[in-house]
Amino acid sequence: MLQFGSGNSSQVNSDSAMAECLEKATKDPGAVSLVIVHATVGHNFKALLAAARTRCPNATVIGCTGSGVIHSEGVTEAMRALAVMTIAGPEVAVTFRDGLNRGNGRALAAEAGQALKQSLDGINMVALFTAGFDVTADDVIAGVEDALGSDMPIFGATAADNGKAQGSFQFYNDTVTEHGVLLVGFADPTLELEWISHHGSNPIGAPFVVTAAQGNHITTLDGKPAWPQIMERLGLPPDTTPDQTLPIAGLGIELPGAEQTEYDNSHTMRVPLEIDGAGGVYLPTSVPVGTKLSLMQRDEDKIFSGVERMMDRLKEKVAGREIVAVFQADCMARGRLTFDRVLKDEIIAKMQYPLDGATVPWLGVYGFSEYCPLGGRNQFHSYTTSLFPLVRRPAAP
Amino acid sequence: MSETADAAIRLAALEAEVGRHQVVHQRLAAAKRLLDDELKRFRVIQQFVERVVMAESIGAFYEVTLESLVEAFEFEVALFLRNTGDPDCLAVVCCFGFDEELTGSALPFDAAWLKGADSRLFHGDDDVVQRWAATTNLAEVLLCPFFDKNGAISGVVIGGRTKDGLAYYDALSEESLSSFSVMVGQAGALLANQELADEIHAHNAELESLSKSYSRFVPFEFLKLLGRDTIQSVLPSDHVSLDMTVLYSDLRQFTKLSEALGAEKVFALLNAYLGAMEQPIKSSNGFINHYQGDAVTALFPGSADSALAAAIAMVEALATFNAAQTDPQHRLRMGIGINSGVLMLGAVGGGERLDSNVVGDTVNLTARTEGLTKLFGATCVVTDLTVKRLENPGKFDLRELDRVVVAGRNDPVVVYELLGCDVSAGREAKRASAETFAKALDCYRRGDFAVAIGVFAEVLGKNPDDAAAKLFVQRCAELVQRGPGADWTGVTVLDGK
Repeated sequence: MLQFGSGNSSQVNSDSAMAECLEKATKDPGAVSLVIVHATVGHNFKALLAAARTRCPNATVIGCTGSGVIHSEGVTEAMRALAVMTIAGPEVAVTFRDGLNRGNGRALAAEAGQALKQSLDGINMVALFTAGFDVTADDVIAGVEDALGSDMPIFGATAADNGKAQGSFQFYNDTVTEHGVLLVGFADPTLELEWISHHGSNPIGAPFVVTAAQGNHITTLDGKPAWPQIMERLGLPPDTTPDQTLPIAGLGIELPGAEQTEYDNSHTMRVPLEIDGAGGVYLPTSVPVGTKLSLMQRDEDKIFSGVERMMDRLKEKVAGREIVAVFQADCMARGRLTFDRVLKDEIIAKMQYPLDGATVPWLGVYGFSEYCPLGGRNQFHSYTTSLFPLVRRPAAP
Repeated sequence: MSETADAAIRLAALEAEVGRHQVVHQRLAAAKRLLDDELKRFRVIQQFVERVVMAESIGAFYEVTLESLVEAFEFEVALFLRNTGDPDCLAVVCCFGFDEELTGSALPFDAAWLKGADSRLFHGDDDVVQRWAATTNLAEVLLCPFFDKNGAISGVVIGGRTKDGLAYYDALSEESLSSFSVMVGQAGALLANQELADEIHAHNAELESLSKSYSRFVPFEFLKLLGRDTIQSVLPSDHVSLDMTVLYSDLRQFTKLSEALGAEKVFALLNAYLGAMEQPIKSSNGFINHYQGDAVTALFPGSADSALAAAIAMVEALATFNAAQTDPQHRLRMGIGINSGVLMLGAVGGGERLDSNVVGDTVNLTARTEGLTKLFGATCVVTDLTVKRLENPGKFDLRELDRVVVAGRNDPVVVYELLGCDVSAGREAKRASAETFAKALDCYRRGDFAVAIGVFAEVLGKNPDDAAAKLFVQRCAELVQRGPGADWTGVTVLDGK
């Protein structure tokens, strides 16, 4: 049976910070088989990874950056924030592929998925961490499903930086890359994955219609260059850059009715992170011509009440089973870019309190986007809080 | 205008209004973020003092300071620089966040960069950034000086971002200047205190070392008995009358050995021997008051039993010492005298040259008692002044030897042989014949010399090497021949040392 532990540190010295995290996470570093690291971009990554590998010599060390980390003590969004989850036991495996880009997501993810399948029998859930830029995330999901089946629940996040939209980093042992795919397969038969996701934004105005696009590259909306169109709606000049609009330029795609009910939101959202300099914009998933994209507006009341409804539903899903660990993927726009310290602590407390977050190992990251099943299929989201409790299957009577 | 067109215009206006609302909301969030950052900075500054005073070294102090500044101001890099004595140059004593280790390197400095004690913000075009660019790759810095206890520039602290970090790190802000000045000012003041504390520690360590050195010449115990804390406070007139036990040891035939060995070997041998004697005395709660050549005077302020225990331990230590000598010439023999009573302990000498010493009849008698060891063929002789004050007399094998008046004294003293110090094969025989010896001694004192000869002969029958018994047989024979005289008291009057 897999054993989980978590720790966090706000120390700025990377070696000391990792030492503190691991000291909190595990009493037996030699037994740890996997360390999942989430860090912010000010840390010295090489030093972090070396510190983890030295202290947990039998562990694979993976992870990714975010604009902040979420842990049992709350949230840290400094330039040097760190949190880890340690996993001990044989029923976990990792595969890593470098070189991810917009065009090869499906093939690379399928290759990684095949390798994962061959390395461990009985995988029943997969954690996925990918680059946040230069990615077509629906292709990545499709690739993992090609290898492991579409009924394999996939959860995770895309990496991020501190809101500058300059880079996003993935870690695999000594490797630090901006084009990585990391798959973690869990095969503990006593564990089950639950999930839930919510964003709390509403569409405003008439939707844009994609009039020219290829893959995830949208050239025009409503027949006009895409990015200036969006900026005009926001009353911002066309030379505004994506990092300046991260929390307010989210685009929504309307969901089918049944999924709207499950999601408690009408649209699933995409964050525009990259522009092409000619008015085109890249979304993190494919966007066929004809797709309607609504500019979305945060609704603070809906965010807070939505979290409460989300937690009620999650508690129903967990149904009293033992929670052994919680993974969390939050959009960076739900962190300090939007909320002040008090509101942020409140919203995180609303999630952690019902799940005994102060005592259950907890690891979350503020990434650019989230991977979370919805409507019986694996999906990609932006701007959400996505929670993934791992629960112990009740013993057979 | 059609209703549809009008509605479209109104919709566009509303959409624009909502868009503006979004932007305003984002700017409000940014303003709140600044407030959060300021609160965080305040918390870090508060914790900084607590953390930095725990630093165990100056190096740790620098590290904690830079780490706290990095945490408070979200710097990418930071440097702690100290004055080198060269006004145009500062030494990097600690760095944080740089790819290269800069500690130990020197950076150019110009006092014109400073504006009093205030922090300043420098950008890429400024002189300091330009001149440090090659070494540090800095793009912009906050720089603040700190000062020593005399108000002179002690160094500067900088925090900033490099050209590589511009993409991720926020631009430095003039709004940070006052907080940065406060924190560096605190660091400077604490550093001055820390350095002062280090100086005091170093001075104390030096004093302690000096004191240990002094203690080799004047023992702490001596000062304690004199009622002084330090050797500096001892005055030429300082003295105190004390009642204690004195042990005096001397090597046999050392003068002759010295002549044979030569000065260098004698010194080495003597120091090795005296070194071997220190521990037995110390561990028996005594202390060495004085060396005089190969002689040792040790004082036992507590129980007299300690002095006897020390004598036995010294003899055992000498046996070990001798066993380790490859040259038979280096195997030593010693005599020990032990006596108790009042003595004067004090500083002896003039104003320029002082020595610690003990003087008085008790001390003289101890030395004379040691001299008796040769007469009686004993290793250790103890006076009745000591034996009477033993707390556990049964713990020690003592054989009464004689009642003597030593040179320079009028009163007789009874002397005993401490059999525990006899390392010869005859020790057990002496123990076995102790009663016979006492009976013979009684006959001798009563003037019944012929009988005494016979009884002493019995003792010698069991141990022909018993020097004391031989001495008495010889004395009795002489007394039989010449008669004891009308004033016979059984007391032996000795006229030599």
